[in-house]
Amino acid sequence: MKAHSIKLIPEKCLGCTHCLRVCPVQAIRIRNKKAHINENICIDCGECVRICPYNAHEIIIDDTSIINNYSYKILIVPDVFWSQFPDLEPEEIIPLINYLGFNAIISDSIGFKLFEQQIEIFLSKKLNDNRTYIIPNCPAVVRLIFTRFPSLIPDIIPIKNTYEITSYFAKYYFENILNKKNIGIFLLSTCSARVTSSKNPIGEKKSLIDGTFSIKSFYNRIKSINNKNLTLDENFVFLYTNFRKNSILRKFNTLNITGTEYIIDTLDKLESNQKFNLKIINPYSCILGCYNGILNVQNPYLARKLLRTKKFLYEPLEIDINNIPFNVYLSENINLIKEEKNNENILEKLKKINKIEEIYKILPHLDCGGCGSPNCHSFAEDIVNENIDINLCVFLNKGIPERK
Amino acid sequence: MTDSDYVRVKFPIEKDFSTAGNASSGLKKLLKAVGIPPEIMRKIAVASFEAEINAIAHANGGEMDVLISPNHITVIVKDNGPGIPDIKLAMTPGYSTASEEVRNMGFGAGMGLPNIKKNVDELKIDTELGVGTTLTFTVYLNKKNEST
Repeated sequence: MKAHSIKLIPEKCLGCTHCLRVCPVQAIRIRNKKAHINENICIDCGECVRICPYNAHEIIIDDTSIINNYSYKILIVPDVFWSQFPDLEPEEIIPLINYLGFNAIISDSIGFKLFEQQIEIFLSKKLNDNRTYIIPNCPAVVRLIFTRFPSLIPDIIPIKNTYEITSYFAKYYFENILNKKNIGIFLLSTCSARVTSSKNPIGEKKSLIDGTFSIKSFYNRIKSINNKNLTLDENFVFLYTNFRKNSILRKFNTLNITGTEYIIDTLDKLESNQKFNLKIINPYSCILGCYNGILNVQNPYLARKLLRTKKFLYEPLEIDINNIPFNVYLSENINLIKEEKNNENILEKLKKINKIEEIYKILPHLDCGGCGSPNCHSFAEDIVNENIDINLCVFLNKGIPERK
Repeated sequence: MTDSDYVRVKFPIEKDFSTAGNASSGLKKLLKAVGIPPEIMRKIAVASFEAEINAIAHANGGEMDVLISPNHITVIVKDNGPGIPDIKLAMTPGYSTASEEVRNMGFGAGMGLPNIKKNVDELKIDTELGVGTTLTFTVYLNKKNEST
């Protein structure tokens, strides 16, 4: 899981401990006054980007000029995008997207509809198997399972995520129905995890998505367009379908869960077979889900509220779900994806763990982060695994301050 | 086996339903850090969780004592509870002596011991009425080593 979209800009990093503390998987260390992200365990959730006061964490998105490499440009737009604009209706925004060079928009509602219908079909064959399945639509959660809960990989429903499905549908529709040539499919992304996933999807050899931009950058671009008299190209295509998200999942005993901390706790319970009779778990790493994506601009509660008022003036597309012209399942068997193994044998690791526990005992247990590790236990691990100097502990030599 | 060939870790089990699962969760974390294969990790996770719940539901908590070696993992869960009068009956799926209170909390379905047995390679139950119960179970990391 080495491909990532979050990059640290050393010139902007002060080496403070904000990101160190919020990283839900303890992937960050401050070394030599700069933050470093452990690419083996980072899940691209974006919490470090959200909290950094100095904008030192950057999400790598594509340069908008890449659309010029294609003659027919299609933008996948998540519904949450429209609710970023309290003052603009979709029919006012669509000509602006056209003006930015795109020939068509396809809503993620199409991907969601197909995704949930396929999950219903998948689960209809598994009603009595007493297992709890995991919905794989948040790429940060999928990475979390691969890095931290590998015993749950077989419980992931092996279906492409909604944006991949939307891109496959776009390819089919624009190439085969509308006969467009040299199409480029681009994603307007809510978050860093989707950016990573659109470059390196887990379970797929390659994504059909040719480029990924952020909602934030498009918000700024659209707000900066001064020409108010733009007319929409008469051949512009807008594809969406009427579908209420989660409406199919509701038929099953589903746990909708947002926030990485709560997801970790739930997956932890699942691993011990505490299933609470759940058939599916529908997890999203950001609290409130994609409304709260790190690349959005609007307050997520407002966005959720506003979305209900946004209406499209186009006819919704009817999709024949019995004849889906592409494979909705992942093309690779995710159970065969193996993480690089550390070559140390169990005995060596056990010796190290003994050493870690010995060192941990003498640390102050204040979890201040001053040493550059997120807490005293991870500091003890770093001393043993990375040969970090124990004297980085600010309290060890000076003593713990008296608190009166 | 010499002392350096294994690690011994103890996890206290508090008589507190709200923190039930902490000991087995701590053990699981350790097993992942050691790089125990997921399938084996999961077996121990299930068995140790059930044993932990038993110690909380039927006794005043207790202690989970874990030995990890390159060949096997042994978990010893000891409590000072009432003891098990009839082990055969206790091993019957669905049989439970859990109180109404415990059942209302979602525990006591009578699957604890059967679930442990299902997930481990060896299970030993030492119990004395009025004194307590000690559950010892082992999972082998490599089945070939079972006899050595």
